[in-house]
Amino acid sequence: MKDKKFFIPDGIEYYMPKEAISFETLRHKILKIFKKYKYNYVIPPIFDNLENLLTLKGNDLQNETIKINNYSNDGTIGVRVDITPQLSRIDYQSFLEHKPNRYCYMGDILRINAEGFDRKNPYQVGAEYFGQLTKKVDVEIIKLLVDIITLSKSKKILIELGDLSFINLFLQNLNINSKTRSILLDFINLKSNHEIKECFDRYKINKKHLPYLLEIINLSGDNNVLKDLMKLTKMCNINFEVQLNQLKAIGNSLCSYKKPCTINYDLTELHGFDYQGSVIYTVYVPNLRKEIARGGRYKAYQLSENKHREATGFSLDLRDLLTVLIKNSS
Amino acid sequence: MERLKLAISKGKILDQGLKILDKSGIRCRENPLTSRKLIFKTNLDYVDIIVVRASDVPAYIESGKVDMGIVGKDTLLESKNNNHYRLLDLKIAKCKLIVAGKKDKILKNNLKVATKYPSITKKFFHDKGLQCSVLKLYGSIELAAVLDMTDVIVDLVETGKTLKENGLVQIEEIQQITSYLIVNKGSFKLSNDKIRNVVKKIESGILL
Repeated sequence: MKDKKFFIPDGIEYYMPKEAISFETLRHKILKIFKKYKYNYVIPPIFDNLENLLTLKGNDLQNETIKINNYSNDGTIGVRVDITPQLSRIDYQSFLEHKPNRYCYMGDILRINAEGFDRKNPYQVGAEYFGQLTKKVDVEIIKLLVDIITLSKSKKILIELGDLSFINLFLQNLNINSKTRSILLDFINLKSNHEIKECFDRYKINKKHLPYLLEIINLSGDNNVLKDLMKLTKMCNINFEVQLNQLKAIGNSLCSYKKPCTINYDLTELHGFDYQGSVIYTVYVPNLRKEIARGGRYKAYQLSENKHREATGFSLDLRDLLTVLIKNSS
Repeated sequence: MERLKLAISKGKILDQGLKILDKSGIRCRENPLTSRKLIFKTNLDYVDIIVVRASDVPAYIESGKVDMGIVGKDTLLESKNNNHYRLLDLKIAKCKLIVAGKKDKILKNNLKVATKYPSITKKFFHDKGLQCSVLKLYGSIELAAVLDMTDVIVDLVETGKTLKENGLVQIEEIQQITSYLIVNKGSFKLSNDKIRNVVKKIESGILL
């Protein structure tokens, strides 16, 4: 009689033969897509020196990374929670002035704080472009992302474009301290107009532009919202025309790319780690309880006093892609 | 057509929530207050209503299997699930979350606190720079303070009558509580027109 019980930790997923084959097949198809777009595949280690895992500014990375004392060389190593910082390190080491780098990756990460429906062991797939950023680069990398998501056989792929710099500028103009800023950001992220109003009252924040902010929060949708966003951002005393035109141009280049794609705009979607700063994108497909992928522009590292290495990239969890594929195939 | 699911918390929120839905023109074909069914069809061919325990509403929304929910702010603050938008304050089931105890009790370090809301309680005391030990109870929280099982309690009060009848007083208010209409983020993006339609109807129902 078998009396051993082999439990695995909560939130950890693994695959038996049928799913394992599907998983590997997806991996190979994604590698082919990366190759088509000329992104160079790299395999960074799951354990790394802590410094290499925290190269990007962001409290989330700091809080979630598991640290292990490495007594042999007096350093601290960590288990990665995100592969992107390792790619920044790789780009830094191969950096040549005026030369962009395109990298892609796949690998396990550990999200030890994940609870409920979130898995602790996502299999992160992503691509990063390092170099001068243009609309063309954003379009290229989002098309690459769409090609990967198309593998899930989803009949609808919603790409939502945004720009974090609007909220950053709006909050800067309010002259509030970091604690109030963080409370307000939480409410904006929840689109909770009632609590935003309460927050303005409680902390005696200047309400001059509050009605426009609330309208902008409610204003998400297709091309038709851009005109109103242009008007409302102006009313907030923020000149956002260049950024909105840029988003529109990116959206226009993507809307006819693949049949299931639709484009949305939302200036108050504030997803993810707090290292991204301007153009961001989130992708939704049916049969998944949350977004399937997200990405955007960020500053990879400092080059000189006033100069940063710019980058843009996305990531998704291959296990999510497989879940959706299985649902769409059944 | 894919039907939207709206979860409503059992109890007072269900009573008052159904009244708001009725004013909004959203009516269940059977009465959820008397039927033992779990899912109720409505007069709208794209909305079903499900009735669940209050503390489970955020989990249903997080799962994406249910698109919208009506739930108390206390439950939202206690829950770690945040894959949702809080689109409307329905201004129903109004009450407040307070710290209460016997007369002359003051808030200080190392208090023992009984509550249904351990996360909110810990945060409230930590924000004040106070350490506390939390005992999670599931009902009749007042009894813990009456029997001196804990120094104070953190609980919801509506009128304060129960506190008074048991010789307890409010020490400090933590938060005013009402109920919110919340929506799963993915559902909001992918079924935007239908959800905005429901939100608009409910918004008009609140004003009536």
